[in-house]
Amino acid sequence: MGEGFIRFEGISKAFGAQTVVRDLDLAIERGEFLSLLGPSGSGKTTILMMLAGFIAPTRGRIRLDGREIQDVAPYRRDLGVVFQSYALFPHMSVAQNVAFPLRMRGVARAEIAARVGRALDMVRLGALSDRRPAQLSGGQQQRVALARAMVYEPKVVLMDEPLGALDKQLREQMQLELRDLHRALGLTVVFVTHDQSEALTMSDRIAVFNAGRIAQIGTPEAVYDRPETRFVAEFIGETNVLEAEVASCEDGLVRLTVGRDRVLVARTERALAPRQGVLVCVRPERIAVTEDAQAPNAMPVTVADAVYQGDHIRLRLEGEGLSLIGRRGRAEAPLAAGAPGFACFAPEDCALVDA
Amino acid sequence: MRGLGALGLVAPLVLFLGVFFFWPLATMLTTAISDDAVSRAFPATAEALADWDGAVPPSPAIQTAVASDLRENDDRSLLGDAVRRLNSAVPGFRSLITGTYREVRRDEAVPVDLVAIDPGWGEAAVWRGFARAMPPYTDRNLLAAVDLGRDAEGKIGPVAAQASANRVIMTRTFVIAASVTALCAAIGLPFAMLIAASGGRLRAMLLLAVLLPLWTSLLVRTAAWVVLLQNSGLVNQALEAVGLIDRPLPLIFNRAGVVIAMTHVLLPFMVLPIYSVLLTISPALMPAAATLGARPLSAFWHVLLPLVLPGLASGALLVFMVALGYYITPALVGGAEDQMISSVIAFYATGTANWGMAAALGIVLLAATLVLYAVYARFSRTPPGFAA
Repeated sequence: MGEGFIRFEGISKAFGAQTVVRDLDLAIERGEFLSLLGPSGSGKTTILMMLAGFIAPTRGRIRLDGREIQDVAPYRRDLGVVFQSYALFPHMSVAQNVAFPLRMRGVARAEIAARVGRALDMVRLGALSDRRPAQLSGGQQQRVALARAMVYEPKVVLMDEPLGALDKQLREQMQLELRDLHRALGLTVVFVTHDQSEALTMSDRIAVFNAGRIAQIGTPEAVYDRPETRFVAEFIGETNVLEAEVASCEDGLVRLTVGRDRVLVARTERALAPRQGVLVCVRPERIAVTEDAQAPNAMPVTVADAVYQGDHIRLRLEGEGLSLIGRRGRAEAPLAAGAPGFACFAPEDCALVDA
Repeated sequence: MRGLGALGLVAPLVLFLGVFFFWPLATMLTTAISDDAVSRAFPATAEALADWDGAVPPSPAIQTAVASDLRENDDRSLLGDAVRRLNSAVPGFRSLITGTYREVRRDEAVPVDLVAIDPGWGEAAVWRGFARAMPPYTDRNLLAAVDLGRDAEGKIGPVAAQASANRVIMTRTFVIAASVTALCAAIGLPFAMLIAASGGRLRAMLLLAVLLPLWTSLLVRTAAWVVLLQNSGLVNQALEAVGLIDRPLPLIFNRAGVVIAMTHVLLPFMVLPIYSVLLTISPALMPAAATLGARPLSAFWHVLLPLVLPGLASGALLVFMVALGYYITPALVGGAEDQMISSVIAFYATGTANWGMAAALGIVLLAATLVLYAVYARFSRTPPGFAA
C-alpha cells in the first residue's frame, strides 16, 4: 500500500447498536479509479458519505492529500459528488446548474461562462445548455451531473451508483464514457456500485465489501480470477464451488480429494497442509466438456440442461454427487441435453479459498 | 346522448355553484345598490317627479301625487322604511311626512297645496332629496363604504372625517392580515422544513401539532389565548419569573394579542402548502449543493427557497385571504382599535339591519381581494427562479 492520496485510517461507523463499517484501512492513489463493490448494506455507500462529509465516522481518521478531513464541513472539502438521483437543481437551466459551484466559489462572470462552456462540451451537451433538467433524458441528466461535479476541478470525484437509474444499453455506453473521462482528465474517482460488471469494466482497482469490511481489494483481474474468499468468488460473476480436502501440496501443485475418491489437481501460491479443507472455485467459462477421460481434472458428467443465451450456451452438468455450471461457446459443437461426457478444467483455472 | 350524460354528471356541481356561490354573490351585489324603499312607498310621486322641471314648489300635479300616495298607503312598515331613507338624505323629512300624512288623510281635498300644510315643503332641498331617492338603484352604500358621499348638488366627495371610519378600518384590516401572513411565513417555513426533515414518530407528532388547531373550535382556541396572554397569564408570569420584564406586558386586548392569536389559528394554512411542496423536492439537492461548495445559508437561498416559493406563495395567499375576513378573534382578544372590517359588516348587518351598507362593505372587501389575487396570479405565472 502506497502513501495514499486518500487514506481511511481505522474508520468505524455505527448507527446505534449496528456497526456498518468496521476498522477500515484503505488507501486510494492519486488518479486512481477505485470501485467500492458490495451488496446493499455492506457499508460502501456509508464510506462514500463519510468521505463526502455527510456522515461523521464513529472512530478513525480520513486524510485527503495528507490533511485530516473527518471534521471538515462538506462544502469545504472540494470534492465532486455525483448522486444516484443526479440531484440536478430543477429550477436552473443546464448551464446554471454547471455554473453553480463556480458561483459559490466567487469565480468571475466571464470565466464562469467559459468554463461552463468547456465542461458542457466535454460531456457533449453544449447545444442543450438552456434546457431545464426535466427536459433532458436520463443519460443527458447524468452527463450534466458529471459536468457539474467536474467543472471546478475537484481533487476527487465521488460517484454513488450514478448509472443505476439508466437502462442497460445506456449504462454500458456511459461506463465507457466515464472511463475515457477519467483517463483524459487524470481524475481520482471513488465509485460505489453493486453491479460487478460495471466495476470490472471501469476500475483500476476494486474493493469488495462484505458486512462492513473489505473482503478483497485488487485489480479487476485479480478479484475475478483469484478470489480470496468464497464471498468474493460468488459475488463477482458466476462460479462453481467444490468442497475438497488437501491430499498433498508440493511446488504449488495441490492434489485434492473431492467427495469419496475423486482426485483433482490445482495450482496455487498458497501453502496448504494435508487434510486441510478447502473450496475449489472454478468459473463456468473455464469448464470444458470433452469425450477425453484423460483430460486434466476430468469428471464424468451428463448434460442435464443446455440453455441458449445468445453469445454462449449455458450448461448444467450433473455428475456423481456434484453439479456444475459450464459455458460453451457458439463456435464449439452443440451439446444436446442428456449427452454424456467429461467436465474438465486446467489446474491453473481454479482458485482455492478457505472453507 | 353522451353529451347529455356528461351534463348530468356536472349538474350537481353547477347547481351547487349556482345556489351557494353565484346566488349569494348576486344578492349581495343587488342589496348593496338597491334603494327601492321610496319608489315603492311613493309610486305615483315617482312617476310624477320623473318629469319635474325643478321648480319649487313643484306643480300641483306632483303635490297631489304625494298626497295620494300618502292617502293610499296601507303598509306602515313600507312607509317607515321610505321615511327612514328620506330622513337620512334630508334631516327633518320625518316630521314633514308625519305631519303631512295626518293632514292629507283627514282632509281629502284635491288638488293639494303641501306648502300650506307645512312650510317645509317650500324648501328646494326637500324636493331635490325626494327626487334623488326615487331611482331604485343607488351608489350611496358603495360610496359610503369607502368614506365618500354625494353633497347637496350630487357631487362625489369625502364625508366628514369623524362621520365614518371605513377607510381606516379597511386599511387596518389589510395591515393586520399582512402582519399575520408575514408572521405565519416566518414561523411556517422553518416549521415545514423541520417536519419534512424529520422522520417516523417525530414527523407524525409535528404534523399533529399543526393539524390540532384545525380540529379545535376557533372560539376555544381564542379563549385559550386570553388565558395565556392576560396580565396574570402564563406568558407574562413566565417572562416575569425569568426576570425579562418587571411589569406585565400588555399582550391582550390590543394589536399584539390579535396578531398572535390569528397567527396561531392560521398557521396550518401556511405550513401545509409549504410542506407538500417540500415533499416533492429531492432530498439529495441540499447535500449536492453542499458538495458543490454552497454554505448552508447560500444553499438555502439559491436552491431550497426558489423551489419552495410556490408553496410559500399559495400559503401566504390562503392565510391573507382568510385573515381579511376574521371576526371572532379580533372581537375577543382585540381592543376597539383592532376591530377589522368584518365587525363593521356585522354591525350593519345585525346591529342596524342596514343590509345595503353591509353588502357594500362586503363588495369593497371582495374587490380589494380580487385585485390582490390578480397581482398574485400575474407574478406566479412564470414560476419563480425559472426566468432565464
